Amino acid sequence: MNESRGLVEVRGLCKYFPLSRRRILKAVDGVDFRIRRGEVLGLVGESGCGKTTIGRLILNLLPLTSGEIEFDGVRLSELSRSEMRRMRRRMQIVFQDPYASLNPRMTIGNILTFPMKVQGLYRGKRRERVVYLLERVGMRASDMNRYPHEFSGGQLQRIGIARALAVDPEFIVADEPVSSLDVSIQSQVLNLFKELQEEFHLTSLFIAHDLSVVEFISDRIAVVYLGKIVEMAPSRVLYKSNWHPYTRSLLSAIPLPDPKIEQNKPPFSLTGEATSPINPPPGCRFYSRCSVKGERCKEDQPQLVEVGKDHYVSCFQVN
Amino acid sequence: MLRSTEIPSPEERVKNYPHEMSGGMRQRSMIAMALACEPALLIADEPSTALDVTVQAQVLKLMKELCRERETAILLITHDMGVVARMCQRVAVMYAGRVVEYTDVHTLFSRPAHPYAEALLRSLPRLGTKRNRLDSIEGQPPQLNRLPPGCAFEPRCQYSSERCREQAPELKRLREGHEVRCYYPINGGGR
Repeated sequence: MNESRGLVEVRGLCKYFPLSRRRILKAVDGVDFRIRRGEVLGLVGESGCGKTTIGRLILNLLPLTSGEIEFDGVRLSELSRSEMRRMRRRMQIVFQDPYASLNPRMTIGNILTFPMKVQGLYRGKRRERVVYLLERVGMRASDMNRYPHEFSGGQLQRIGIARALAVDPEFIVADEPVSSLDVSIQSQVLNLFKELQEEFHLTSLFIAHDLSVVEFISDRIAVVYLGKIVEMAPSRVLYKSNWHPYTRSLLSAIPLPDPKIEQNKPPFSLTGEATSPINPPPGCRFYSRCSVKGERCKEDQPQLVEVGKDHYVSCFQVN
Repeated sequence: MLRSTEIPSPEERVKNYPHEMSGGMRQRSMIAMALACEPALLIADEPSTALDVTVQAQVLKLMKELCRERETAILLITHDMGVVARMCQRVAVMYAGRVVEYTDVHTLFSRPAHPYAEALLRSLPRLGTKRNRLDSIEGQPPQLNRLPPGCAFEPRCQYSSERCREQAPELKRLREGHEVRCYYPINGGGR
């Protein structure tokens, strides 16, 4: 991973939650990646694999156990509280559940004005800015006087996106922003997200469990399994020539909307369920479910190795 | 029964309470319970929606195999077109409380006749096909207490006419085994 510096640089990221004296939940356990300016990095994996924790660590919403996060060359761990608050203008988040993430007692106008007030931005022009944001995400200016309960999930998610954009950020973490929406609404919000990405010159970390959604929106994809990245590649490459046995299982598990493919597929072969992240065994995290495992996999943890341009895999069996 | 659903060490597990099991095992236990009295029909309401995709694949495979062995029919209720493609022979597409299209699974995916079914299929992001935009269905699903007098999909339909606004269409036979609730069905159905 050399090339130019990314806007976001993550090295050796770990987050352990102690549950009791002897039980440690290793939610994120040694994650490295870089997000280049203007790029969308997709983070895909199953529930409990640590995707959301990674997103929150990057924004410094959770303290990290070890590792380093650099944003535009600045180490976030070295910032004071007030420096961090100023830095937050440049990094924003869109949450998964729009019903829970918008205050039901505030009008949409106040919800959108709030981040500008905190950052002391757009003084005297906040109302105009709210109108602009609402119209830009496909809502009406008059919606600013209404409350969250008057809107549908898709509309609330548009408002959530407008709020994230209010302070003109450079970087956005989108944590499962469409997974609570109906299919027909999901495609509207995905299109909007893609347009805004270009228009606002955003750099994004897009977190989702649905690989077809991640593929549509992302330039590169990182596949996460139990707190580690097992494979990372440009999105087109990941679909066509994936190497890691977990990536392969994940792809074959996804039901595709095409009965010709689905009804001729060999039966799904992955057995068992994910290993618990509480006191995980020493070797590869995928060991218990892997079909190509060898001796070494039980004891040692594989590292990410470059197998092609921009394509990294963490598995002893493919090297 | 527990053994047939591939729950590991079933002799031990049978003593467990639901909270001691994972989501996948709970759903396996539900399937064991539902099939215990050898029913002729299994109604599965979003059986894998709450599960992770690899666990979903296991549970769907299990359901398919067990029901095939026992000659149990399945009424599968789902919003996931991929699950439909994997599991079903025939499909009824619903919109606002009504069946709008009813046909075999291959016809639905290759030649959908109802504008809603067609638009829904086009709006899905598909793996391995890089696109800049998804086709989406504009507008919102209708509120069931305020349905329009005509066709419920009319406000979002790109083919609608005066007639659709005034009177809701009936479910009509298009050809053998293919029924559709639309005055202007797509794909060689008279338009």
